[in-house]
Amino acid sequence: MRKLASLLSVLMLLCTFALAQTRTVTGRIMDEKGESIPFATIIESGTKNAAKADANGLFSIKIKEGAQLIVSSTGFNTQTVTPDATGVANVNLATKQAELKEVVVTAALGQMKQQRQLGYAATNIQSKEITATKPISVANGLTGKAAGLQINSVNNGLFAPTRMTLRGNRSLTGNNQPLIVVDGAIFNNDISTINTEDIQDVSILKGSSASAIYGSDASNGVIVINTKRGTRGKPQVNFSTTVQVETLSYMPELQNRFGSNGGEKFVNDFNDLSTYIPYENQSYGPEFNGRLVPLGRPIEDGTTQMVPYSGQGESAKKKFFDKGITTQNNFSYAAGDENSRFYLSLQDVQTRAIMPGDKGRRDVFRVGGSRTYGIFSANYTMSYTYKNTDYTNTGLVYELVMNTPMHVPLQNYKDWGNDRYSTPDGYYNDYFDNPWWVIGNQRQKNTDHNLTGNVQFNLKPLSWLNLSYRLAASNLSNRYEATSSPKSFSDFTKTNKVVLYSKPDGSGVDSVIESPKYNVVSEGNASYGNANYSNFLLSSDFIASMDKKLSEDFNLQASIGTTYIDNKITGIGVSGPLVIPVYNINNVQGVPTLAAGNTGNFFREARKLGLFGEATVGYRNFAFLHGSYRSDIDSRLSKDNRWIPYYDIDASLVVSDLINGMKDNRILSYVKVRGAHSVTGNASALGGGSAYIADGAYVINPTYNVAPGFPFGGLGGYSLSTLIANPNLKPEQVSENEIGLELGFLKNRFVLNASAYQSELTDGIVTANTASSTGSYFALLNAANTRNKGVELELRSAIIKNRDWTWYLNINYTHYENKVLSINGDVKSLGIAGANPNAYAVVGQPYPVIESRDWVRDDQGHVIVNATTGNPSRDPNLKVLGNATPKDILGITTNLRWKNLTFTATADYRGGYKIFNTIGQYMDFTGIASTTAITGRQRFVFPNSVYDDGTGKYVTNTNVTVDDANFNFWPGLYRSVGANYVVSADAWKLREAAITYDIPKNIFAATKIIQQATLTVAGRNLIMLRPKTNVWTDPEFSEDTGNGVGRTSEAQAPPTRIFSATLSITF
Amino acid sequence: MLKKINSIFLVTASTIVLLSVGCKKGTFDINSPNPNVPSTVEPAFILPAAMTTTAVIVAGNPGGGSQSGNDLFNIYMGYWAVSGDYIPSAALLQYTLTTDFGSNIWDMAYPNLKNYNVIENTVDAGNNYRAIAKTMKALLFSRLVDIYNNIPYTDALNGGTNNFPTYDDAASVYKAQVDQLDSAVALINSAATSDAAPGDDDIMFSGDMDAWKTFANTVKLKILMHLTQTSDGPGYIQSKLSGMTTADFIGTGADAGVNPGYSNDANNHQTPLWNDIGSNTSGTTYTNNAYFRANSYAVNFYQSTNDPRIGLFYSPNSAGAIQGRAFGSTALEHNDVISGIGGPSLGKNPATTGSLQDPGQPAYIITSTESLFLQAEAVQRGFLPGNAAALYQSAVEESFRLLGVANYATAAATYTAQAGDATNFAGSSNKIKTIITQKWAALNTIDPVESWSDWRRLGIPSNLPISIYPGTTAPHIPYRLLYPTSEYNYNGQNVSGQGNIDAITSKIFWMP
Repeated sequence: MRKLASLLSVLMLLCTFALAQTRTVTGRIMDEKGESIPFATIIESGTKNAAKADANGLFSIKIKEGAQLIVSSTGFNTQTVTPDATGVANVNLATKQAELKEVVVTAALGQMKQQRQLGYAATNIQSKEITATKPISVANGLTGKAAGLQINSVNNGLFAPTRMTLRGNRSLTGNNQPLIVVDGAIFNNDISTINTEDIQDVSILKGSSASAIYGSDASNGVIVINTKRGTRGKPQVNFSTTVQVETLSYMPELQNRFGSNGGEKFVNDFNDLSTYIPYENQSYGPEFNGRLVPLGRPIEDGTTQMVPYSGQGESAKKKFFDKGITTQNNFSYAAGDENSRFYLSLQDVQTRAIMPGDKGRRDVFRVGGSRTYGIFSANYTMSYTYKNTDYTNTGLVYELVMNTPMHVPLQNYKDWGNDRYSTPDGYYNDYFDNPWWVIGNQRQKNTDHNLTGNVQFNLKPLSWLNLSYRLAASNLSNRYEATSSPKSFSDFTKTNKVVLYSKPDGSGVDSVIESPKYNVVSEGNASYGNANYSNFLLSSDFIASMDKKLSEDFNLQASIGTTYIDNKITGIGVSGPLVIPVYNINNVQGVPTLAAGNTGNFFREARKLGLFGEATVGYRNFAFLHGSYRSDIDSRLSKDNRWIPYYDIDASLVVSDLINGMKDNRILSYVKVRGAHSVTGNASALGGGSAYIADGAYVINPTYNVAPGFPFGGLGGYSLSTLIANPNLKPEQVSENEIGLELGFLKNRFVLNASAYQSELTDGIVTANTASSTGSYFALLNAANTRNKGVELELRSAIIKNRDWTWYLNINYTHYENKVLSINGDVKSLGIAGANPNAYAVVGQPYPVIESRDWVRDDQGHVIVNATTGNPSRDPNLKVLGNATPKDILGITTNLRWKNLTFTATADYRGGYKIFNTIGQYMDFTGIASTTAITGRQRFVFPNSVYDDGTGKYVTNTNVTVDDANFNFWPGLYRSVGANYVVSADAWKLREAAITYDIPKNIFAATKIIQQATLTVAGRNLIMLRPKTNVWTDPEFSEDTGNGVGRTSEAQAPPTRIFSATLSITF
Repeated sequence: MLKKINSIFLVTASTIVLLSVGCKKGTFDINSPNPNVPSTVEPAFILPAAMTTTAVIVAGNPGGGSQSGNDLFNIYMGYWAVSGDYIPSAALLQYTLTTDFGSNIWDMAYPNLKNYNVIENTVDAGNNYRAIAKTMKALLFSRLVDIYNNIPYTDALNGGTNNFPTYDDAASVYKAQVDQLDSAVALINSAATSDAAPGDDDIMFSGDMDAWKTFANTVKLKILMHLTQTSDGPGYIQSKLSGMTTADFIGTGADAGVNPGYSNDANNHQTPLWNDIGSNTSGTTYTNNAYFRANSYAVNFYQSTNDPRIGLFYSPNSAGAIQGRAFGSTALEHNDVISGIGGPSLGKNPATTGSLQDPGQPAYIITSTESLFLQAEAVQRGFLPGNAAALYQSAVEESFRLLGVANYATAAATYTAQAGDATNFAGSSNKIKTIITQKWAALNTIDPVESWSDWRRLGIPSNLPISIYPGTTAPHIPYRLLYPTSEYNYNGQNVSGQGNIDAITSKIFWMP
């Protein structure tokens, strides 16, 4: 660190020197369309004197009178120009055929950098690559497009949530998702509130080196999003409209042979399949025979519903769901001149999900612009997002539909209010509600108002010095309401004891006296819940930066600055039962229930001040050394632990520029090597992994909670929280080393960018289970260590590029491994908080792993069965059954144009990991899963099993069958073994494909209004290839967006496909 | 160097920020205290919460289930048996204990102790509160020793700073508790009027500090009497009881019980025992009420001694008789044939008799009957001055009173006048055996851990049966519980240092 500090001070001194020349030429470098080309090289002809254009294409160079300028930039033809008499040279460069343009990356603090300057891995993705298939969320548009980036859609449905990681997981209980920076300001709202059409480009800074400057938030990499700010030239008005249709693509595998019985009627023979139970939900009854049978109990009007006893197949379940329809209308206006830019956009998305009745709307309004007055300039963006969703208890309905016996005509029960067999009284099922009734009576509404503003002022007192100040604020307010109608039964339902059974010989029905339905299902009160939440984030940054030529050979870019963040979160959530269904807390019976613990009503605030500096020294534009340093004051930590240094040092060397003649080599024209070392931090574990700093606000304080049962009358009682407060907490530290190689082949038609990294997390914050003898059950500790390593390859290629044809193909590959080195002392295992109870961190294993129970096995892995009953038994110990994150990810994107037709597609493969399918357990419970009928419910020899021959020796089992292959086997013993539901999660997906047709200009040229019109048809999630063992669902799903990945649930939508058509017109 | 850089940055850069966002000194000191929940709480609010939890540990079934807490010991000690209506748990019936058996006792006790620790370490709490905290800690720590032998003590309760507490020798923990109890009494004696005095928040004695002294002395007596069979025990007991008289201990009618205001207005307001084997507020009996039934060993004892309490520990079967079942029996005996536990009162709320009378009854920590039996033994062994026969008689009488035997004094006199060592103290050939036998008979359902300690210490009752469940190999009931799973998972190195523990054969240090 001492070295870094002295380097910084020397560099500061150097910048005061100036160099004398004779004439100053200024200008702008642009492409054919007049758009700026950043970082072009300008050389005084016949000398070594060179200058570089800035990110906006502007340059300034001092040259001898009469000298010419040679302007070059990768991907463009080099051009020689003579400045005019006033010393201005505006240059339009022509695009080179079949060569990739040099990528410009928005590095930390919003600085535009050439790829060659970077000592770390970064990927830039342009708006076109994101919006090709008109995804609603940016996350969907980024999936598969960068090495090291993994994005999971964790469910389907309205504005489906996603989980993003860069270079995998490192923190056991902290947030592992990257920091998102929009227009330079930390953005900690849901990324799906951004209109994808507003995005100019996205830079993905993968390693922590790239992001060290962001301090204790940055160890997970950064996704830098720049929004549109308007373009120079004639105002452009764009209107586009998209219609998307979402359909269910496949269901978990179902059996279609057996109807209802849930163990109510069997005598001693487990395999007695003879009795069909008309009111039962589980499908362990007799085989379908096509005869008319009663369904449900007799109802009050004396009738009994009769249906054919035959399976209706998968399509009957599919029919339950709607076609999801989403319309997306976009309007934008962009304009600009020499000194100002303006951009305005409106987007309206209205969506109906495949779940009947679920609908949502998102409206985004954005305005942005900039203005330059001499040395002063300012820019701003403001956006407002309204998001509304109205949905039922979606997970429950999936579960109900999925588990309905196959002979039940689900589509007949839509009219739950009037139809006699669809009302709560008349519905056949004694145990569960009619899913249509749930849709009509259990509703949730979520409304978000999200307002963000961002204003930046720049002062450029000297040509090489820029002072900028930015103030950004965002306020999210959310209102959530849940309503549930009352459910009541008629006196008849409560008392009727008669049940009709069809006689086995089909000759009619027998009536049997049983206990009434009311003994099983209960009536329910109406209920109402209401939660209000608001989250305010203010950030204020000051940055002084310089970009100066120190000598012929040396260039220095440096900045120092501060960033201040204040985050306030407030919320209250109450609920209670209602006697009359007027949904307002005023009508709640008794005292409304406040959500548990200190989450019912809360105020949280945290602040952070970051102090930072960074510098890049460039030598002749081919060797670069970069360092950054930051320290944070974090209000959440004790005074002693606030000052923790984060730093990076990285370097890059363009070898091809160093070696004479190599630049012009036809085969290998560009070679760059780079290396980086950084130490960054993460304190998100303070807030249990929340991205909001305020969520970790009070962890160092002890907490007392109201003791169970208290108050007793007027007697109050408090107990110390069993999560111990730890005033000594400090942020986790991630130390990362990275090396990289970048190669350009065939005049940069093929560019390969390779990285290898290893990072180690120390002082990892874990909510560790502690022995109760410590007096508490949990403690937040700096105790865990993990190690990540990986290789990333990105190949970009321009295979063909001519007037009629262009073909780009990008391939990215990631290999990633991680390992938990320690958790807390000699503690070996830690359950990961969240919805998935099977996710664990286990020392010596990847993180997270899936742990569950397996069968008892012999040394060779054969399942040991009982020599008499033929039954296997469950091993009582938890066993690691596989890692839950992919080890290998391959992404392929292509863009093929022929004249006016463009085809784009993205496919990816994820492999080397496992998934736990809880839905399988549910379906085996109800007997709807194909597994349960695999032997036709006939006794079978358990596959690959052995038994003890009585001498302690295990012999291969060829003849002892399980004693039951029906109700006593699948829902109980088989289902209790989690390993039966853990399968390979490997999958290929064709995520996106689109064909765009640019309508020839001559068609609308006459109108003189329309400048451009395109028509796009696209599809998303078109094909998924998965191993045969995965008979359930999309292995990308997860129970929530937290760290506990690796488990899908019965409450998730089946996979869907999306098709869309878009018309876009530019005026 | 870092500090210097930091200072330079701080001065130059933060000036601008401070100006622009208007923050001032203290800007970053906003996260303490927590505005949402209390970070400090007066002893008057910690104490009732802590004592209510202690009541669950001592008098209830911590954590619920059928393999935890007192339920386990009621079975082992021949009071309860397992119903024939349920699929049996072989581990429970064969004494093949796992680290989950009774683990809630340990897992609840330590965090509970931590709450007392807070009071004890709060100087401002004053002598009275601190003395109560010390007393309750001694009660729980000694109970843990009685169940687990060596336990974390000096290193315990320091989560955050010491997450891996080492184990202390059980004998030293025991002696430390005796000293703690002496110092608790000394604190009360030296309390100034300015020391805070507990009131209704003291849910055992309503702030009666003399009662607390008596209670502390009784806990001390209980600890000391467990040491009778150790080699240095008698001398130590003698020295620690010197100068004390029977008046220093809980006497007739002074049952020490916790009651924060138990009632039937919510399930979690019921007295812990009712909350285990009673019924919920709407009258549906809890599972353990059906799962546990009368044990034929105890039923036979009460029948053979014509004990009127038999119908107060158990309820009549469908034929109106008291019928027990052997522990581990595989006979097809339904619950309508086998008597229930808790006495006649369940479902007849409010009732007035039985070991379980009312959802609002106190949770007994030490009953007068237990205290008097302890005193009787101490006098009989010569550690205290007094009349052992009279103490024995009033101990039995107090048991009859507690359970609601009609005309309890007369009934008790008739009962103890019967010939035989089990009842008749005067004619007994082994007076200690008579005391402990009757102590066992009295503590059915109420304090089975103390009965278990007596059996482990003295082998009384000597004919205590073991399970008859097929495959049972244990020669006797367990001597201790295994350390809980939480220790093996999260304090592995230290618990492993205790060696291989065998629940059947590994002894508590005070066992002969």
